[in-house]
Formats: sequence, C-alpha cells, structure tokens
Amino acid sequence: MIASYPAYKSPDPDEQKLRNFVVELHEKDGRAWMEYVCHQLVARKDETGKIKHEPCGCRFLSLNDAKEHVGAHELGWV
Amino acid sequence: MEKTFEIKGYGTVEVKSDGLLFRLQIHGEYYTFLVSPERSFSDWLNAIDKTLKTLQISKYDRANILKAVAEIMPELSRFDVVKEKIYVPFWYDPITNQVFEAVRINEKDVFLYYDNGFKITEWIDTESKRIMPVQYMDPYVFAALPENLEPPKLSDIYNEVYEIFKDYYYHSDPRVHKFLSLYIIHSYVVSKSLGTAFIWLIGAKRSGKTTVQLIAEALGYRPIASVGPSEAAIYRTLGYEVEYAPLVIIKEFERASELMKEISREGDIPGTVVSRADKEGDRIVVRNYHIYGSKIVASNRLHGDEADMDRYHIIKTEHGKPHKPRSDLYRNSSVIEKINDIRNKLLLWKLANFSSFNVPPEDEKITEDREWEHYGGIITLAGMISPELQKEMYDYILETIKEKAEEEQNSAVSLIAKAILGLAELKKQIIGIDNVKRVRISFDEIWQKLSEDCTPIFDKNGDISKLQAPDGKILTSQFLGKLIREQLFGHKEHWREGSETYKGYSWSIEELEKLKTFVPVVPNVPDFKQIDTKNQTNLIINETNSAEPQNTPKNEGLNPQKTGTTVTSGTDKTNDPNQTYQAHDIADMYISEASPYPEEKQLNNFIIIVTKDGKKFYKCGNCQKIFADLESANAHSCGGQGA
Repeated sequence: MIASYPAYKSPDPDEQKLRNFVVELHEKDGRAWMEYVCHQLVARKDETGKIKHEPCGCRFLSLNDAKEHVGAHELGWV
Repeated sequence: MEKTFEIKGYGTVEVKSDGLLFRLQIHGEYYTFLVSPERSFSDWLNAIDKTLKTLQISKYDRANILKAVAEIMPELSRFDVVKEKIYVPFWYDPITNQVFEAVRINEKDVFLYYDNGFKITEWIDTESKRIMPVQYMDPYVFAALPENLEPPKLSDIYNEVYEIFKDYYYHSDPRVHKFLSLYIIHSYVVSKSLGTAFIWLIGAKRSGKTTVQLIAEALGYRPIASVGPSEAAIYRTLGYEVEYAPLVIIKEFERASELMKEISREGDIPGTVVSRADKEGDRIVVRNYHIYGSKIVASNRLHGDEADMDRYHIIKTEHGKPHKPRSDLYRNSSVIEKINDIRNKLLLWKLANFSSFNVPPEDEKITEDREWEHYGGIITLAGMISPELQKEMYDYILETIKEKAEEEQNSAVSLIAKAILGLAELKKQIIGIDNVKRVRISFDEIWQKLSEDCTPIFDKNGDISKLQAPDGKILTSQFLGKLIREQLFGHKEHWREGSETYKGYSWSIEELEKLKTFVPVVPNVPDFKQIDTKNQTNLIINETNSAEPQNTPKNEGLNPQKTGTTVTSGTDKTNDPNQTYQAHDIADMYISEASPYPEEKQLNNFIIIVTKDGKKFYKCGNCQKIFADLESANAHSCGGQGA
C-alpha cells in the first residue's frame, strides 16, 4: 500500500458515502488499484469468550461492493 | 452667538460660528487669523499657540495672549461655540435621510452626497457635533466631479463585479461567483440590512482563497484587510462615533489575534459593539466601537466554535486555473484602473440608493428568522437585479443552509445526544413508557453506540481508546463523561442488575426531551436504500480470517491479483491510530475539472490523487479504475465516460 485516506475525506461523492471506510491506494508493476477497508466496529468474541469491539476489516476491490457492505452494516446483517 | 472680547494691549478676538477670529496688533504689525474649535479648551489653546508660533510671535507676547484667551474660555462655553469635532468616513442623517461618504477630490478630503445630483461638502454641522471627513486605508479618489454625473445602474455594477470574479477566481459552481459579487455590493448597504452573513473561505493552499480576498479588498466597502493587525490599528479603523460598517477581511483566520476573532465572530446584526477604555489626558473614556459589518475570513480548515455558527456562510475553494492571472489585479495598470472605476461606481450607487434600499422583515422561502437576517440583504439585492438571479441565489443559499445543517448533525454533541436518545428509546420500549421516570444508560452502551458513527482510534493493545467524531473532534471516555454531565443533562449513577454492577448516567423524561434540541432536523435527507445483500456472494464475511480480501474481483483487468500485494487485515492495521483515520501519505486530492493543469482538466470525471512522494494517480469517477500515468487515463474510456 502506498497511501490511504478516510473515505469521507475523498473528493469523490460516491466514496464519501462509505461510512467508516478507509481507502487504500496500491501499486505494483505499474498497475494501481484501490482497496476499500471497512473500519466499522463489530462485536467479536476472543479466545477467552470475552466480547471485544474491533473493526470489521472487510476489504473490497470495488466501490459498489463496499457500498453494499455499508448497507449490510446499517441493517445489522454483519 | 457672535461676540467680541478684548485682549488687553493686543487687540480683539471674535467668536464666530467656525472658530475664534483674532485681530491683533503686535509691535506695530497687524495679524488676522481664525482658529477652528478643538475638542477641548486645552487643545484649542494649543492650536492658538501653534498659530502664534507660526506667525513668529515672541514667547512673552504669546504667553500674554494665551493668558487672556484662557480667561475668556469659560465665557465661550456659554455661547456654545466649542463644538465637538468628530472625524468619520461615513455619516447618515436620519432626519434628512441624507448619506455622506468621505472621498478625496483634488487631494482634499470632502464628503460626497446625493441630493438631486452628486454634491460635495467639506463638513457637516449638526446640532451638537461638527462632522469632518476622514480617510482610512485606501480612499475613494475621484477626479473633479462632473456636475451631471448620473447614478450608476445596479445591474451594470453587478455585471462588472461578476466579470472580475469570473475572470480571476476559479470555482466550478458559477453561483459562487454570483453570490460573491452580490456580497461585495451588499457590503455597501450592510447598514441598511437586517443583518449580514460572514463568508468563510475554506480550501487547500493555492485554491483561490487569497484571490477572493484580494478582489474583496479591491472592491468591498472601505475594507480592513490584514493577517494580524495590532489592536490599536483595529480600533482606529472601526467606527465608534458612527456605525459605518467596513468590510473586514482576515487571512489565515486560525492565526488571527483573539480580538480579531472576536470581531469576526460578532457583529452579524446591527448595533453590535465592543467596549474599550481609552486614556485621554488624565481621564479614562470608555468608548463603544461598532463591529457590525460584512466579514470575509479564510483558513485551511474549519475550526473552533465559529464553525457551528449559522452566521458563517462557508465557501469551499477549489483547485483550478482562472481565465486571467490574479497578478493583473495589482500589476496591470488597466485592470487597476478598471477596478477603481467599479469601486467608485459602487460608492456612487450607494449614495444614490442608500435611503431607499430596504430589506423586507421576513421571507417566504428562507423561513428561519435568523437565516433571513443573515441572507435577506443579499437576496433583496439579487431581486433588484433580476428575478432569475434571485431564484438562483435562493437555490444556492438554501442548499448551503441544508449542507450546514447536515454537518451540524454530525458534530460531536449532537451525535452523543442522538446516541443517548436512541438508547433511551430502546429502554423505554423494554420497560414500558408509563413506568419510566428516569432512564439509566450504562457508559459502555453509549460508547458502543457512538462508535458506530465515529472512527475508532486504538491503543497498543487493540482496545478503542478514543473516538473521532465526523467533525474531527476527538472523544476520550473522560471527555465524553464530561460532555454528558455538563452539556447533556446526564446524572452520574452506579447501579446493580443481578450480579452485574453498572456505571452510567440517568435522565428524566423532561431532560431527554431537552436533549432533542441538540439533534438538528435535516429536511429531505433520503433514507438509506435497503438492498438485500444477504444473498450476495461478495459479502460473505469470514470473521476468523480477515487477512484475505473477502470479495471476488469482478473485473480481472481492473483488479490485479491479490497475491502480488501485501494485504494485511484491517484489524492489524488499525493498531496504528494514524493509519486508521488520518490520510496517510496523501499530499492532495482533487477532481480533474478543478485541476490547475489543462491536460488534467481534459479528463472527464476523474479524481486525481497526489501522494507525498510526488506520484500522481488518476481514478475514473465512473468505473473507479485507477491509472498510474496520465496517458493511460487519457486513453481510458468506459461507457461513454472517462476521457
């Protein structure tokens, strides 16, 4: 990853809608791509069974998928 | 009123309406001179002494004459000749409805006024004061005023101001140019408006903030422009005798002095003053300085309490190249001449129209009283130019107000209030509304609820140590507790439910009602479109192994193979708080249309990302495909979009 920014700071209105997402910019061999990482807090159990809140961590390569993922959080499905 | 006193051995002094007329004979020489009244007797005596010195009268004779004059001074007050002399750049006589503006004609400071044609006077005599013209900063200079000068038309001046903004300042929304042009005209009649909005220019470096301020400085009404002027300079320029409402321009608002910030925060409605004690001789005089007037401030970002104030109209400046270089504004003599001409026309228009200019007390479209106070003056001006312009400004202003309300909704306090209200609603549903007197909510529940709307910041152990609200405010648990207790009516409580002990806060039903005022209502915000994502294969969540990307690339050309990249889990990444919520290694981001480079501007609907090491990436706003070089971006086309 060469750079990243919080989605709400993007000049792209579509990206701004990605609530709690970080947009990562990757480059390799002259090709570049974006990865959208969800940082929405979700409750998960650790090894001891204790509930811990941590970022969702889901990663998407397309903006539309990331948008749908935001929706899934809103509806409480993930 | 006129009376003559004798100065023994020297001659006479005559009390005239415009001063003391001395007729003296000293050692056979005749001297006749007039000394205008000063603010106090001692000043007047000093002025007489100075005149005598100029006439090379000996010290002995001067002392005798001054002694005699000092003896008759108390007599003078009975004739009321000592008129307080005040120097003002602007005077409005409410009885005659006459407006006077200080201008410079043939190197002389005079007042210009309109009475069936433009006329000049050197001073105005009112019952108690003698009003003299004074010039601050950049005076309005007229060549000898032609007798038959016609008052300029508002629409003509508006077009000329608009042309200047359009040529020298880039903004993708032409309504911004129109609004700014109207704001400049508004600065001339702000004293007749119900109130004024302040413009806050926000944007990155080289995005045109200074250009807007330069134009405003050149065209606005008697502008005071500075980064951090001294306190004395500020007070010297603000009016204390009259409210003449200069346009205040502040660059780098975040660095402005506290006083300057105070002045820029206040004064959105007429009559606002700040008091200041001045030492005058051996007396302390408290003066009220008027701070009502238009203001244009600029900074890189929104900050401080000012950001929430509805009196600020926020304009986000954009990167982009204007039609003409801004250096013309201060280097090109023909442009400077043009600007001076527009400026003088603005003043002439003000003089001819000030008395008749009137802002209606309310409006049907901008229904909130406060908003109408702030924008009424501008809308009225737009309406005087054309109904189309008025409609355009209505749309633009209403849009801005809505945007601001949305931003306010995201501010930390309203977010917390929203979280508490949401949780309280749940509790009420569980217990049943009739049984509830106080609602208890544990701190952990509030923290968890808030983390849904804020960006979490993690400590070394991976626990959430802080939350960042969308407005940038950082919330720690201590700060959150303080906010709940001090601003959001929460009462600290400890209680037990079964074997568990809880720490939290309680609210009465009335207090919860009060909380609702912290959550602004945003009209017409579309609800989230509910999509059935359950059956979509790209949303399979694998909680135990978040190291792998969870979606399948849909387009091989667009998405490179994942094996070639270092993909770490989101959870690991967020251990570094900087990486989680701050832009990382990004120097700048802008839309292609706002680019200062013509070759980038040609790209249609692209986002340009500049990394700190100087690399540029071009992202298609339509298909999200990203390119590491301009040529590929140029060659790209997708569904009619792209370059």
